Amino acid sequence: MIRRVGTLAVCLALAGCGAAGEAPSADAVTAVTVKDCAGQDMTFTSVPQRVVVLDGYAAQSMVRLGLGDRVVGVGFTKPFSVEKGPIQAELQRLPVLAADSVPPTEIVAAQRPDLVLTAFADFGGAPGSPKEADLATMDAQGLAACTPTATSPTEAAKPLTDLSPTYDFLRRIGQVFRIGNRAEQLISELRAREQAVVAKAVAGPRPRVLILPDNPVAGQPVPTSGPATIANALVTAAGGTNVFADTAGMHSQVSPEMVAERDPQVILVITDYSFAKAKGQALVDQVRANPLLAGTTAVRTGRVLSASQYVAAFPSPLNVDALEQIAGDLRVDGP
Amino acid sequence: MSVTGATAVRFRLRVGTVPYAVVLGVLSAAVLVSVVIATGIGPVRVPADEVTRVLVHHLIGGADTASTADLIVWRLRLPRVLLGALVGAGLALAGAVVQSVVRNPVADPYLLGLSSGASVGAVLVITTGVSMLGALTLPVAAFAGAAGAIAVVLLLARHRGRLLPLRLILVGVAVGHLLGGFTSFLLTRAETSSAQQQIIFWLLGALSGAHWGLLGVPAVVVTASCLLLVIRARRLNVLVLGDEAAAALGVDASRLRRELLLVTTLLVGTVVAVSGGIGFVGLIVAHLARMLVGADHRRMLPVTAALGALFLVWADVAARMLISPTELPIGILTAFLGVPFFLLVMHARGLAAEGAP
Repeated sequence: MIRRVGTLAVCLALAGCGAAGEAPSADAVTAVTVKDCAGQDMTFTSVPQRVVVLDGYAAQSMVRLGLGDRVVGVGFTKPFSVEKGPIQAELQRLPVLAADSVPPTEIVAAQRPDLVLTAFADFGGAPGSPKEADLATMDAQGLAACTPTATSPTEAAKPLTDLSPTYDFLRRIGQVFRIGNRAEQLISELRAREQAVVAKAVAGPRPRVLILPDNPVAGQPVPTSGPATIANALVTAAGGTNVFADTAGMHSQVSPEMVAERDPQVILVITDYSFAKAKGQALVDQVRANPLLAGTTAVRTGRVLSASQYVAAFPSPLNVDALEQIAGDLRVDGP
Repeated sequence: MSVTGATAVRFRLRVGTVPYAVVLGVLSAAVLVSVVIATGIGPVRVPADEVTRVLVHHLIGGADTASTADLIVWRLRLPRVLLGALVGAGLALAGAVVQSVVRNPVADPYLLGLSSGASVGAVLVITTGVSMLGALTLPVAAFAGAAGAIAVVLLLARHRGRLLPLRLILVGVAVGHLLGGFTSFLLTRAETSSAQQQIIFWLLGALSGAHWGLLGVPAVVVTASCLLLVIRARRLNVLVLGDEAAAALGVDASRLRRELLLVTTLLVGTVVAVSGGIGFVGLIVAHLARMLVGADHRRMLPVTAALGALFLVWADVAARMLISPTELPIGILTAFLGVPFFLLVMHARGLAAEGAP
């Protein structure tokens, strides 16, 4: 479902820089300070040696930075399923603590980690998964990917129109492991690919896109993704306009009437969410056949695209693969 | 006699006449044994002798060690089990008092809008990212929310200077719904999955955030409230007879109600702040206690506290282990046990009412 345009190029570039680049060293003594998602300083006095990665998104970042050997355990490995490139084998070698969920605190603690990583902002796993207080109890530091958040209940978070959360996370991991150059190189590779997509998109018309994480049901609000999400960034950078960029919340609920009024020209189905009624292509087929959406230009002209949540929902280097695929699909027979 | 009392007496006759000291002694021992056993159960397997060794090491004054068993048993698991016991006891006591204060056997602290208030306070902090008091921000906000909610309920439930039980319930339910709606509104605006997960915590509850530093305040508040309530137990017995009977016996019902609700707010605010919205403990445990030792609050309140502790310690073990390694929010388990019991109580209440002269 996901086209792996450019994956090979990045992997080759990484292999090259991995061979010639810095190696994280245990005896580095210079303290490094990075910001957490709340903007507070976090100081790392040594290079982490035992890393628990709570989810497959953050694991992608670690492995692409050549830090797979530091990972003593990984949780929620479902995002690995979309990785078809050469790093698939390395991802599969990581010790799995819990495949379907973020591992609970005790299981993480038993690994005696000195660093816990997650792509979920503020360690927001399900109840029982480690939070910042738990990390303090187990003498570990924590590093999370950050996405924009609201500053008050009445103001929505800043819209996300590029993949800066992904780059920011890679950069902070690079700083903590004292491999800043390698991280910057990966970031510039990814950013170059993002900018190539954006450059092409600027020239063309901007189709109106409805993002759907699930198939809407009659009589209930339509689920969609708000402006402060990776999905919104992907649609915008790919040259589309999220028709509900004015809503709030990661999973927003909008009225079916508004969907009709805003008449999306393209529907982007984000598949593989655990709460969705069907998985993968089955969900896309349901959306295509949904009478609620039959009147939209998108369904009438057959322009229903899809991308997995494993590449399009949380900060990960695979966001760029999703971007290239969505941009390619948007251009085909575009308005 | 109130409906609560009538139901309890019926059950009590069925249970028989086990001496009160025996019941309380057995329950207290059961709490202690359960705490030790529950500390030995978790997703990471720690052999029983290792658990015993760690506990004994610390109980004779040993310091934290670098061993993984010490980290898991002493620093992660035991605080969680103890927090479960405290929260269970606190919620159960609060439930028992609210049922007597509003003279309704299916009342619980949540009926008066307390937990909805606490949730709104906490969720407001989560969604706005305000952090004035550091790690204490969330618990303090939850407590302030609960206190604010009960203040509004008390204000609106007053009628000509008196607090009427039915009015209290109606106003409590209405305010609770309003605040619940507000929480849901904030949920729909949560920008990240982490904010949504935290909000689930405040709606369904969890003991997973427990650590030693979190235990002090609930321990003091639950113990002090329990003592205070036992001292007030005789007057509570009078309160359930009705306002007129209370007045005849020299008890100012409205004033006593206010005083008891303040204690309840302190209890609920404190435990909700550390464990989120764990439902139904307050509803079911007091009824179990009445079945065992009768409706006399002097006997019933200590048993309620012990049963609440037992119930939540084991509910949390189930929450940790049923679908391990994922955890269930504990509120789901207490609801699974609580809802059938709720229906049973309503059924029994109906029969008792019909059977009453």
